[in-house]
Parts: sequence; C-alpha cells; structure tokens
Amino acid sequence: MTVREALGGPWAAHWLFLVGLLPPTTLLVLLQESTTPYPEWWWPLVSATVQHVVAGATIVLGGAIARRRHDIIPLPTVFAIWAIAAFARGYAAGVIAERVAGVDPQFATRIAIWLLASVVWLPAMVYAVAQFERRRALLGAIAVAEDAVHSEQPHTDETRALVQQQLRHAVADSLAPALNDLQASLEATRDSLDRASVAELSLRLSRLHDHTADLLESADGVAATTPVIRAGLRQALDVPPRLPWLSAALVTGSTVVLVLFDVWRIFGPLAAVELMVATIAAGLVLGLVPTIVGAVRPSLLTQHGQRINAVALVLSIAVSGYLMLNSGIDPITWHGMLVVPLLAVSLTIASAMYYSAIVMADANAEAHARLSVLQADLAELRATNDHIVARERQRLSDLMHGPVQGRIAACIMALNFHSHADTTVDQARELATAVLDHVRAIARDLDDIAAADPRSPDPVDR
Amino acid sequence: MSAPETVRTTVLVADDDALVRGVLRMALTRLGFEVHEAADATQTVEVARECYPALVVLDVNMPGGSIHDTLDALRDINPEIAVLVLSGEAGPPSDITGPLCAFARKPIELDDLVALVHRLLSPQAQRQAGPS
Repeated sequence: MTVREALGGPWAAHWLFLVGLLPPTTLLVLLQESTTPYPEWWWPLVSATVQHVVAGATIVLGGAIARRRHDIIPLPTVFAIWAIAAFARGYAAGVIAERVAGVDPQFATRIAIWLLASVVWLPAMVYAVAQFERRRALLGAIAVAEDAVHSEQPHTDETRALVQQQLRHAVADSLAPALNDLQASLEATRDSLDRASVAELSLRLSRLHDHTADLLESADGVAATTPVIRAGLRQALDVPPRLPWLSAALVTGSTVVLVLFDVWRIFGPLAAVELMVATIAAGLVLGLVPTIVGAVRPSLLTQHGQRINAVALVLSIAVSGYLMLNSGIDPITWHGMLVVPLLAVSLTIASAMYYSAIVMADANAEAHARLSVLQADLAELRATNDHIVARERQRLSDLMHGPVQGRIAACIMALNFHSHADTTVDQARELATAVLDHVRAIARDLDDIAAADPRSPDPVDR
Repeated sequence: MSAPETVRTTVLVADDDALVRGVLRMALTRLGFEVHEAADATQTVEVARECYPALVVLDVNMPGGSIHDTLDALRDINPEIAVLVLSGEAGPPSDITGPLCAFARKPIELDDLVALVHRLLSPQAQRQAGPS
C-alpha cells in the first residue's frame, strides 16, 4: 500500500473516522474555550459539536466530490479538503465565541491551530487506520489462502484414479435415469411406433445426447470460490513493537503540536514549558519500556508486545500527569486540570496511531509478501490439478465417445430418418427393436464404465 | 427424390455401428444410390476396391485403422472419390479439406445428409476437384 493509496483511500473522508475524532477534539475545544466567558457552562460543548459537524461535513462532502473523479483521491486534493475543513472549523469556533460570548473571534489564531493540528494528525491517523484495516484484510486473505493450499492437495496417482472414478460415477448417475426412462418408453411403444412417438423419442434422445456432452465438458464439479474474511482486532494488533524510539518521538511531537499552543495562549509560557517537560518525559517512558524489555527478555517483547506497549503507555500517562501536577514549574489552576486528561488522550491516540503506522506498515509488507507466495503456490497447485482433471475428463470423454455418445447419435439418426420415410408396421417394429438394443447397450456399457477400476484398462474402450 | 440413371451412382457407407449403416443405407437407397456397407477400416478399403464408389460416407472412429490411412487408401483407389466424414466430435479431423470432402457431426439430420451428398456429387464439385 502506497502513501497515496492510504491517504487517498476510503479513510480519507470516512464518517466513522470522523465520529471517532469527536471525543478528543471536544476535549481540545473545552481546553481552548476554558477562558472564553460563555453565559452557560455547556456552550463550549455546543461549540465543539458545531465545529465538528462543520469540519466533518466539509470533509465528507469534499471526499464525495473528489471520489467522483478518482477512486484514490490525489494527495493535494486530500490535503486541500482537510485544510478547508480546518479553516471552516476555526472560523465556526470564532463566530460562536464572538456571537455568544462577545469576545474577539481570533479567527487567525483559531484557524492556524486547527490547520497545524490537521496537518500533523490527520495524515498520520488516516495512514494508521488504513494500515490497520489492510492488516486485517491481509491476515484474512492469508488465512483463506493457507486453508485453500491445505485443502487443495496435489493430485497423486491415487487421487487421479479417484478423480476418474468420481467423474465416471457422476456421469453414470446423471445419465442412468434418463436411459431407464427411454428404455421403458421404447418397450411400451415398440409395437405401435407412430410418427409422434418417434419424434418424441428422438427429442428425448437429442436432449440426452446434449446432456452427455455437457456433462463431459463440466464433470469436474464444484467451482472454487474465494471467501473474503477479515482478521479480528486482537489478531490484527498482535505484532511485536518495532522502532520504539521513532514511535516515541512522533508521539511526543504530535502531542506537543496539539496542546502546546493552546496551553501557551491560555496559561502562559511556564505552563507551556511544564507541558513540554511532561510530554518529553512521557515520550522517554514510551521508548524506554520496550527497549529495556527487548534488551532483557527479547522473547517477552515478541510474545507480549501489545501488553508491554500498554504498560509503557499507562506509565507514560502517569509520569506526564504527575509532572503536570507536581513539577512546580507552573502552579496548576482548576481549569488547567483540563490539560491532564487531554494529554492522556493525546498520548493514547498518538501511541496507537504511530504504532499502527510504523509497525503495521512493516508487518503488512511482510504479510503481503507471504500472501503473494501463498497465492502463487495455490495458483500453481490449482493449475496442475485442473490439468489433471481436464485430462481425466478427456479420458472419460474418449471412453464414452463410441459406446455412449456414438450409440445415442445412431439412435437419433435412426428415429429422425424413420420419421421422414413411409415405413410399414414391421419396419417400425424392427427400428424400435434396434434402437432399444442400442439403448440397452448404452446402459450396460455405462454401468461397466462406472463400475470399472479406473486404473485398469478401460472396459469398453474401442 | 430423383429418378436413378441407367447406371446408378455407388455410395459406400462405412461405420462400425450397424444401426447407423442401416439408416444411411435406407436413406441413400431412397435417393436412388447403390449402397454398399463396411464395418471397419480394412473392409472399407476392400469394398471400395471392389465397387469403386463415387462417394464414401465415412465414420471417423472405426476399428482397423486411422481416418487418414483410410482416406489415403481410398484416394489411391480413386483420386476423385468424394468423402463425407461423419463424427461425434464437434470439428473435423485435420486434412479433411477440398471440394470433394465434407464433414458433418453425428447425429446428422436427413435433409443435411441429402444436401451434402448432392453437393459432393455435383458436377461443380467434380470440376473443382480437377482432372487427376
């Protein structure tokens, strides 16, 4: 999956993705509006919701328009849509603050903060979700391919004989009822064979002739279908952590970008420094924990990577929260407490996001390579087996050509030619007897073909 | 059905199925031809040598030899011999070409058989085949 495919794919403007972003953005808006003098406490919540609806509608609408022309939206278009949404969000926030609280809307600041947050967070989030979904699809496809390779065993001499036997039984079982029926009709009408009964018998034989040809063409039975399944969440997440320091650095950077400017704007430079210290400390914990575990017990990291990541995240949130509350760099105020959950949410989302983007991208490349090998193996196996089935079908076709198809054709010709001629009752009876003998011979040979051991010489080969 | 000439045209029906031979004999006799029969490839060549047929209605899969060997032997006997090849297969074997050769899939309709026989024995077909 290329970056363009990931960022311009379905998740670029997916409503579900946008709904998922509502809680963290609401938290950020609550922080941003914590000093805005709204007349009621719930106005920041209304502002957050309106902003999110405006931004979401812009992205969904932009995505729908862009997708009319492109299955994969070009990167400049995707970034333009996100930028317009950020602009609309900042503008909506300013308008609500101005109209409801009567303050300076600070359009430029609000729009700049949302633009920055969008540029840093949205590409990484969309890429991470796309990689995660791809991982689920790839793991599902691998499971299907492994299952197919396992069930599609190579045809050996034994299975070849089995295939031949199955083909013979399938054909014999399908033709036998029609032959018995014909035999009964001929026996019943042989003494009173008129033009109408000749035409009817001829038609039934023609159908049997066509049916035999169709059976021999398609006697290999069930067509293989490839089910589409997706792996479960737990299975998709079961990848050992890789590049923990890169992931930690990106988490730290993203969190700082998301919160720093608002903290600076609202609480001043000391609070911003405190936030920087807390976030960097959290990043250090995020990088250190898997590194130390990997050095001390590498197998633990491989087997329980997710748990170790979770432990690292909990520790990093605890460390950052502790530093925000107790570092002494800037005394915390009541509304400054909002920064702590926002920091925790940001660290959590960023960790999951970069884990998915970095670790899963690598794992997906490996999974894709494995899937390609499996699919190539399966295609080769199926081609070989199809060739064997086709050859066995041809063998059966050759075997049935004279005793079955040839005799049916002879019967049809006899009945057709008879229906065009003025024949006596004796001639008609003679013809019916000859056709009946043929139908009996077909039934007998068909039984012999079905009952014979496919490995032995063909019983009625001519 | 046209009235036969003073000397009737000879047709050889070669098929290992007696029922097919019987119905072809019946149909061709009604058309005014003198009909001979053969049940295998060897017999086909022997009968052709004896009766010198203008047309052979020949089954592709007969015991005693391949279609190509039989055709070669028939053309050695009479280079201008017309051949109507009948087969249960959808297509003709290779080398079944030329104005004096035709292919039909079994089961053949009576009208188609009559049309093919007349075409193969028409003076035009004989002219296209050219002098030997």
